[in-house]
Amino acid sequence: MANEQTTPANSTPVTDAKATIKIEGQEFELDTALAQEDKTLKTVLQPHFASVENANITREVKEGKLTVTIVKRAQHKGTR
Amino acid sequence: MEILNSGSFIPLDNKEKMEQLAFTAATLATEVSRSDGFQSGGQANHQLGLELWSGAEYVCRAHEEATIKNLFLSKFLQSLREIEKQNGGQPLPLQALVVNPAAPRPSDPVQPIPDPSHAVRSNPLPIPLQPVQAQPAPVYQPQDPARDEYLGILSPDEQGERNKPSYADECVPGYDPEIEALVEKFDNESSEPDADISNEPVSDAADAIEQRGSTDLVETEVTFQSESDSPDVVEQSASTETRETEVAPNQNETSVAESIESIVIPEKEPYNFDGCTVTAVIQLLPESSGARKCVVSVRTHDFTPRVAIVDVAIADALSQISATLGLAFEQYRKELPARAAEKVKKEKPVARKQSKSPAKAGKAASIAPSKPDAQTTPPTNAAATDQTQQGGLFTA
Repeated sequence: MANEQTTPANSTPVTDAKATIKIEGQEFELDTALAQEDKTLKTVLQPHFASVENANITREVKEGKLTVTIVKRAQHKGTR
Repeated sequence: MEILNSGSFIPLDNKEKMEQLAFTAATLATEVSRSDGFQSGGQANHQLGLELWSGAEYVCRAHEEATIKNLFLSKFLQSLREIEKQNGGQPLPLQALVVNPAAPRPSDPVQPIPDPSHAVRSNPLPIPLQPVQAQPAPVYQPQDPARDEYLGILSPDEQGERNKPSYADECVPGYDPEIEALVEKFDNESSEPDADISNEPVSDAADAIEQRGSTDLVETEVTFQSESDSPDVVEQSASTETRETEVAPNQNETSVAESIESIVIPEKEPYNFDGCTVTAVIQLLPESSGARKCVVSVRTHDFTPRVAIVDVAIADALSQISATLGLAFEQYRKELPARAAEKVKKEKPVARKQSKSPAKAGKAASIAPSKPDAQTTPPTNAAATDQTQQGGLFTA
């Protein structure tokens, strides 16, 4: 169950200090050091985005810049 | 109205019996006031009422005895006060002054023994009376338990019976010391300095007796106050009720509740840093090599957070966190107008699309079933004109 939703970043090295986070239709910049690990990312974003706790996290590196896409996982009816 | 006989059973819930008790107390007070040598006084009247109550030997339920006794005493004392007022405020009869002219001290009231024949005639209760000896009228000594004011000298057996503990003594109502202090304060403020003692209410007379500590009632009051902390004692009486009613306004004054104002946040907050809710989160990541990584994130509305990460030394963590937080606030304050403008820009097209989509759907639904082939072009033109009109409306 742990890290089941994680898609590891490509083998391309991340050179940009800022990563792009895409969550809930928004994008913002975050330190790459915080965005490379799911646990760290959840810890940092959970106070602002509660849905990150159970979400699919995918990573993509283009030209040394990390882009993290966080998609809220479908829940059962009645849950938010 | 009949006078209650000695040994009558008096239930508290029997109205007729209670009225008879009140009538009996009033009658006794009238007859006592007529007796020769009677001198009205707060303590003496109270003592006399207690003696009459004990001599009457009324039978009551154990838990009602204290209440009925207090009612009897209050009625008795009230009647005595009324009689005294009617007599013109001359408590000392002439005979009392004549009988013992050698004792003119006002603080030492003279209480001659009344005529026993008169007492028997006027008093319907079989109170044992001793024959009066041919001596000068004795000085009333309330401290002497063996000598009674009107009943004469009591035998040691009777005295022993009187000192037996009674359940009624345990049920004498008490009150909290704080309430008592408030009542005394209230009484001191309201009472006149030259007021006669006989004009005091029943509760004041009881206070006077309590202070002197010379009667059985005082002893029971003291024991009750010592036991007043236990919640089992719930018995109330008429005197206590009067005290509570007197104290109630003071309690209301002291217990004025302060209203707590609620914090109201508007549903739509302005895009102004000082006028909106700012959420700041400080996270201290686990220590590594003597320092912590501090993650400070700030956001308002539903914008994305601005996240900053700094290394914080453990020794000076608070000041560094404070500085980082202040810096994050300043940067977010600068960014907020741009974020707000961008959001407003995004929201406008969405609103336009939402306003257009129902019009299009309505047109399509009305046209489709009528003539599908022949009139395909006019609806598009009409739709185009509608769009321009709507667009002109919104841009205006």
